[in-house]
Order: sequence, then C-alpha cells, then structure tokens
Amino acid sequence: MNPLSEILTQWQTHEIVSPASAETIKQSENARPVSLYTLLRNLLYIGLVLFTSGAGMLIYLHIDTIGHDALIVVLALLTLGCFFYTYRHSPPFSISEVNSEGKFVDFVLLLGALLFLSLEGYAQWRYSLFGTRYGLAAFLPAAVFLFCAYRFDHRGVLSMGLTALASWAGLSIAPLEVLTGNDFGSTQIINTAVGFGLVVGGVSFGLAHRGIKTHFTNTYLILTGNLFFIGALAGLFTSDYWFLYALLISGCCTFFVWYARQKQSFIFLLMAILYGYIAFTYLLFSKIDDAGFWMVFGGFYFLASAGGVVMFILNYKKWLTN
Amino acid sequence: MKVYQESWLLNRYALGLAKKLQKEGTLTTAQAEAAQKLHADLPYSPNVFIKALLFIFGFIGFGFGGSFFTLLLIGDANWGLPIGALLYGGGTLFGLIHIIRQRKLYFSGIDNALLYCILGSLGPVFMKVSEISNFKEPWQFGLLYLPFLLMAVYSFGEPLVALGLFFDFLFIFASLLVKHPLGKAFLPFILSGVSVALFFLMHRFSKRRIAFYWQTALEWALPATLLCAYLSVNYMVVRYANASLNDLPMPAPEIQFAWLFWTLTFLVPLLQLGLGIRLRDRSIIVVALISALYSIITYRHYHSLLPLEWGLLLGGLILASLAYALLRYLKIPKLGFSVTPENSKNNLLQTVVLSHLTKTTQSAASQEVKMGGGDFGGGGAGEQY
Repeated sequence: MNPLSEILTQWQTHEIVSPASAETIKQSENARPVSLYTLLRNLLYIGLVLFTSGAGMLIYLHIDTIGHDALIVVLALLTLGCFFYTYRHSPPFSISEVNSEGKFVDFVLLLGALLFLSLEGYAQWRYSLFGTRYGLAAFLPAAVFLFCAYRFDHRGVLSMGLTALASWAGLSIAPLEVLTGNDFGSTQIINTAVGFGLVVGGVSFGLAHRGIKTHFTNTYLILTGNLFFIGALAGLFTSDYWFLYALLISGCCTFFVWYARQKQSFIFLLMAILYGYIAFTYLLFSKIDDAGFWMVFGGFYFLASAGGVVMFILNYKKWLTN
Repeated sequence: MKVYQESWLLNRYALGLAKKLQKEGTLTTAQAEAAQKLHADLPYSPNVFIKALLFIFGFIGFGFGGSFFTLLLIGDANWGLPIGALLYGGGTLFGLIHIIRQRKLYFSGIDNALLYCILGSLGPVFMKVSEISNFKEPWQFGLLYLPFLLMAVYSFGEPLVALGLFFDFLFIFASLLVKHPLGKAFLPFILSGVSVALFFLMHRFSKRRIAFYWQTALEWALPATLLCAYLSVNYMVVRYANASLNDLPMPAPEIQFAWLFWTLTFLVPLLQLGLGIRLRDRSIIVVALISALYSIITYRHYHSLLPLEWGLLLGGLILASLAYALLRYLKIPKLGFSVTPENSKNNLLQTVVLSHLTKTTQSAASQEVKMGGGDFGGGGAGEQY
C-alpha cells in the first residue's frame, strides 16, 4: 500500500534527493517504529479514572468497617502527597506554556485533583464541613483547580476548575450536559449562563491578550462558548427581549469566526456557524409567521441555506486557512 | 471508475513524508520546498471541524432538497417515491462527481455525507422491488444493496461504506447459513473463520501498491474483521445468539461445548495482541484491548469474580501501572514500537471527559449533602428533615 519507492524515484528524477539519500530514507522509513504514545497515555488516564472511581465506591461501601477518620486521613495524605509531588517535580511557573505533557507529574496532578474532589465530597458528607454553605463547597475546588492549572500548566485540571466554577454559579458546563443539566426555562438561569459565558470567556481572552497561558483560551472558549450560545438561544426562544439575545449571538458568532481564523482552531467556526444558523433560522421562521408560505418555501430555504454554507466554506477555504 | 484522482493522494502522502523528514533534519529546507512544488496538486481534506460542518450541512441540504423535489414530482402514490428518490439520488451522484473533480474534495465531509445519502436513496426503490418480488427475508434486501455498496467502495474507497459492505456480506452469509442445521450448528466458527480469512486476504492486498487508493477503507475494515472474528466466538454472544436463533426462552440457557467458547473468549484477544505486535499494527492492538475488555465483561456477566468496586480499583491500578511501565520501557524503541509523541492531541476529549467527571462527582457529593447525612441509604433520615 505504501508508495514510498515510487515517491523516492520521483524525487530522484527531479534531483531532490541523491540515490544514496533515497536508499537511506527508504531503509529508515521501513524500519520506523510505530508510536504507542497516544494509546498508552489514554490508557494511563483511563486507569487513573477507574482507580479513583473504584476507591470512591470502596470507601462508600466499607465505611463502617474501615472507619471514617482513618479514611479521611488516608485520602488527605494521598491528596497532599500528589500535590506535594507535583510541586517538587514540576518546572517553575511561567506565564507561557510549560510543556510537561506526557510526563509522570502531569498524571500525579490529575490524580491529586480527582482525589481532592472525593476528599471534599466525603468530608462534607460525613462531617458537614461547610454546613449549608454549598456555594463555598463548590467554590473551593474551583479555586484549588484553577490555581493548580495555572501554576502547573495543566489543561485537564483547568477544565475541572471551570466546571467547578460553573457549579458554584449554579450551572452545568460539561459539554454533553449543557442542555439537560440546566433549566433553561428559567430566565435567571439563562442570564446566569449568558453572563458566565461572557465574563469567564472575556477574562480568558483578556489573559491571553496579556500573554498569560494563551494555550488555555481554547479550553475556556469551548466550555463557556457552548454554555453561552445555548443560554442565549434559550433567551432568544423564550424572552420578550429576544433582540438583545439575537445581538449577543451575532456578536459572539462574529468573534468566534474571527478567532477561528486567527488561531486556526476550527471548532470555533463550527460553533459559530451552527449556533448562528439555528438563531437565524429561528428568527426567520418566527418573524414570518405564515404556515402556508413555509410549506412551500421551507424545503427551499433549508436547501439553499445549507448549500450556501457549504459553498461559503469551499470557496473561502483560502480565507479560512490563511 | 475511481472518483478521486490517485495523484492527489500520492501528493498528500509525499508532502507529509517531506515535512516529517524536514522536521527530523533528513531533508534540507530547499529539498522540502522542491518536494512541495513537485507535489502541489493536493486534495481538499480540511480540519475535522470543517469536515463536521460540511457533513452536517450536506445532510441538511440533501434531506430538505429531497423533500422539496418529492413535493414537486410526486404524483403517482405507488411509484412516485421510488422513482423520485432514484432520480434525485442519480442527480446528486452526478453533481457529487462534478464537485469532487472541480473542488478536489477528498473525504471532506460533504462528499461522505452525499455518498451515504445517495446510497440511502436506493432504499425506496429496493423496498418497492422487495414488495413486487414478494421478498420475505431481510437478507434478500441486503443482497440488492450488495453490488451497489461494492461499486461505491470501489469508486470512492469510503471507510464507512466499506464497513457497510463487510457487514452486509456477513449478514447475507449468516442468514443463508442458519437455513441449514449444520450451518446453524457451526455458525460461530464459520463466521469467525470467514472474518479471519477476509482479514488475511485484505491484509495481503493492503501490502500491494494498487491498494493505496483504498488505504482508509482498509484501515477501517481490517480491525472490523478481527472484531467480528472475536465476537462470533465470544461465549456471551454465542449463548444469546443460540437462544435467539432457536427461539429458546430468556435468560439464554447454557450452550453445548461451553468450555470451548470460554477458552476462545480469552484466547482470541491474546492471539489478536500477538498479531498486532507481530504486524506492528496499532489498530489491531486496540482491537485486542477492546476484545479483552469484553471478555472481562462476559466473565463478570456469568461469574462473580470481584465486587465492582474492587474490580475498578484493581483494574485501574493494573491498567495505569502497565501503561506507565510501557511508556518508560519503550522510551528506547523495542519490537518495532516507540513512544515518540505524536501530533494528535486529545485536548478536546480530555476537556469533555474531565469536565463530566468533575460535574458527576460534585453532583453526587451535593446530593449526599442535601440528604442531610443519613447513613447508607437512609436518605432523608437526618434531623434537618
């Protein structure tokens, strides 16, 4: 299947490589080892998640025989051990990216963060550590994780911190749960979601603008962008002030398209076009409230608009990748 | 007729090779630039998110275009839909080939979506044919599709259609086998054997230069055949299939030669792992891991091996330790494997998984809190309530 010889012959014909170099390339390519890097890293992540889940269940089920205090102490020691190890073995803080990906310390920090969640939940369950101040219980992991994410440069812990921060604001930011985990029937939730998206997304953009952990911006915008768009769409569908939400959506869509083009991060283009399309189509159908008209032209509208989006992407591929 | 120009794929491969060699210092910048000039005629195969956009809007366009077309053309309630769908599918195929050549598309999302839609538009025609010919069995419908899937795979080399072809073939084959008592009795072994035979045939073909056009389809189909080879002899699958084929009451009763199927359930993943290491093929190793996981699930389904919490704890510990040990062991490449960092970063996946995990853990904790701290299922028993 591999047309290596053919390509190398072409390169020789066009004098790009000498016959001797071609032979060397051929031999080294044929002997090139297959990398198991991504596979093993993912297995390590899965292993850690399974381990902490199992530990959590075990504690819950055998608490009466093990003893609460002993468990809290063990969990706390493990958590502290992980954070201490991370502190001792990670490079010093830098406002730019510190590449520790794939190193053991990266996983130890993640394990520490996961154990911290279990420890906090367990301490609250057993001793009502925070009493009824649930806000504080949600805010503490957010503060710890966000601090750790910046100090030790870890995007995974950043997404955990942002999720905890959203929980503190009473929102579910987890991408597959945005729609089901939030009650968008309530204006308060809609406005909180829109506000949270704008403020946290704005802060991340401000930090990136100052050169602080610019590589974190994608994680911020993926999590807060989804929440913002879904909240704003819910506002557009249900609120009397729909035009405000429409303006916000169009503003953010423009920003996301610009950002996608700037950073070549096309997930933002995907979000802008999909959410923008839903908002525009909804506005069109709700403002031209004529069933007979749409019976005839509905199919045509979707055909033409889908064709339009496709043609835009195909025609502007240079614009998108330059 | 091959729809995509093979030169596009060769250029793409050559350019990838040149970039890699330049990065490693084997090619100079001047050499890499010369290669770039030579292989400038590239297909448009965009970023995965652009692909997703083109795919979604391709589907929307085809679907609503179809309803618009049907509204205009449908007159005869009997033949209107099949003929309309056929004409619409045919017209779309013509347009698709034109746009692929004009825009040099290669698995760009829109061509994949339209190909699935075109094949789907054959459905109403085949249903009508089944109705007229009085087909009583589903495999006959599958048989009608088979040549079209084969043509589509030959022309487009599209991986999902290739999987569809493989499963369609397997479905027809299995449906014919169960008609005979011997075929029914040996169904697991025959299906597994056929899958293995297909794997080796395709693997041998994949080594030939002419297979390059279908490289993506083969990369998908090869692991699928091995997974089928495993599932065909997996104890749980065989036991349920046996009950279902013989109209036995559920829960599925014990099967004959259970020991043999248990042996195969645990032996096949090991053989797959050995094959993956021998052929230096990452996808086969992934298949072996999936098979091994399913073997554990199968065993746990019938025997209480370990309580779930201990299973998760020990399984997680073993998995993480093994992965970590291998990451260290392979720092110096061995057996044709290495742990050289690859370009693909699963940041999005990591974000999604960890965000959900955090949310779930926090929700569980806050639910416990709201219960008022009643011990072990005594939710609501606290003094607050």
